[in-house]
Amino acid sequence: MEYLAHVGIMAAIYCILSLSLNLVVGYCGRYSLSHAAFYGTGAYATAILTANYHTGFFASMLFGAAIAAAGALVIGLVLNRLQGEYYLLASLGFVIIMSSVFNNLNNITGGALGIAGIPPPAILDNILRSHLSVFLLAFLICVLVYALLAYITSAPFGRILRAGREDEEVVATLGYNTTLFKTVALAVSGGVAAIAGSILAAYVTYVSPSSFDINESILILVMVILGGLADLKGSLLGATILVTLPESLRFLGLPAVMADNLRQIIYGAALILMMFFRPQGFLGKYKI
Amino acid sequence: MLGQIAADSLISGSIYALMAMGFYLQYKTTRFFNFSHGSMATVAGYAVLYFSRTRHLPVGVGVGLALVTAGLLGLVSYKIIFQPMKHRGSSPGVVMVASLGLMVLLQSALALLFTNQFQVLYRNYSTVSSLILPGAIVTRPQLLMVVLSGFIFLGLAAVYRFTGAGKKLRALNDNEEMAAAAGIKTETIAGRAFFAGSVLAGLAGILVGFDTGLEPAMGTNLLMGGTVGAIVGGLGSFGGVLVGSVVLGLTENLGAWLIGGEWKPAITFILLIIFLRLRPEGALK
Repeated sequence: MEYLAHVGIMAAIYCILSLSLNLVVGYCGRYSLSHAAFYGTGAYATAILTANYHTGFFASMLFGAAIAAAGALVIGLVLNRLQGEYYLLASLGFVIIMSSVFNNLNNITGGALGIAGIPPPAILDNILRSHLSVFLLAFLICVLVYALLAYITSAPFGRILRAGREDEEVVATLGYNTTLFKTVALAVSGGVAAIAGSILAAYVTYVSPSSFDINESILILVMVILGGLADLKGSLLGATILVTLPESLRFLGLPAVMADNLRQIIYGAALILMMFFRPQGFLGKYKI
Repeated sequence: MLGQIAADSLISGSIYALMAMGFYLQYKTTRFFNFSHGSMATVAGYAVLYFSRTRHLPVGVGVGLALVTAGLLGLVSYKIIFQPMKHRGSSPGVVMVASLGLMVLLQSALALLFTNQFQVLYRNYSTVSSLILPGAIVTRPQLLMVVLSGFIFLGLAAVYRFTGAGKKLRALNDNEEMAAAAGIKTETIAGRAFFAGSVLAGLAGILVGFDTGLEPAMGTNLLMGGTVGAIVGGLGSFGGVLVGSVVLGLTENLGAWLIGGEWKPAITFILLIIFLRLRPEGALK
């Protein structure tokens, strides 16, 4: 039961991540690899604030989301003129820069060793000690995130994003600043990703830079692509498949390192096959 | 100190240039960013380990076989993945994400076969054979990096400018459809560019393997160095690619000296972002 709850928590965290990345990849039409940087920002915000400054869990989560959204806004302003492959490369650059920050600002982030002793999440004064209660919290946040993104993407804001993705010039002639819309979408996406990071930090009670590197960004992108571009249910599907499927490798009795490499091989092969046969993903509505 | 920084800049610039020239060759013929390019370097490094350590072949033979392995893998990846995708009308972004998948796949496959551990390709080779120049210490593989990449640059530039193959390549760069209409077999040329580019990446991987050692993730750094070098150089000519790579090497080493070596990967991308933002056409052009 504890194990099932653990898989459920991880699935909820990755659902939040892939939902939020889909806003950028699916709705704005930009392949982005910067998501692990926002995810890590949220995790470190919760780690530093709750472990060192005894802030509450939700306060640290809000703070992390605000910092990540502000960071994403800046990144958006710097990158918004870049197209296609240049955008992807530069967004990858941000993950590497943030990885360096997590790894090397020893007195703030604890360097390569990370930060341990993060208190578990607490609602008012009730500390959530069991996996089941953390799962319920993560699940609830995931539902709220889904509702938020479903609202944003069906509102006029989302329609303009989609229209701008199809034909930027036409939308611009109608008087909409599509670049601004995309930048705001990236900020929202970054803020939401940070929330997933906060849950992870409080659940695992430990953060280290290796959880937020390029591979993590690639994994989240695979989830979005597998499930489907510009389809929120697709993101839930992609994240759930890629969280639960590798768990079955565990039951084959492989050593952990081997299972980890095998998992990466599956991700790589999935990416090639999807791009080859169905670049819009299983449930996707849009093809870049 | 400054002599050592100059030497180190030239050395890392040379390695990036090897990667960048192969990357540029492939980009110019197929118009997409090939992320699996770095994996070819790693594959070649481990192939030397396999042929010379496990199979006990002489090192020279092992290196030769490793270069062919990398070249063939590049060619096969193009023929079975990227070329069919292009025929289906996939956008450059989609092909690039597929190459990202191939990078992840190859890196993990190597880790599965040879473990994630750092491995020495040739014990004590670097330390025993260091050359002491006035103001700088340089290892023999590092000297080879500079010399080989210089000769390869001259060779490629000559082929590009003076031979029939170079003319076809230029025609392909200019306008793929026109080149095809004029009877140039564009797919054959793209295949050769993938073979040659992967051999260059393989050479870079082997040299790094001899100089420091091998690990499955080493390809990522080489890929990033090569890609950023090529873009900073403007993706317009082999000369630009070489200049961009040396500029990157210099920036990294100066930055490492000023704020610490652990920030090197960050410095690479700060340079890239500055160039993309302020001078998207690159250093030369």
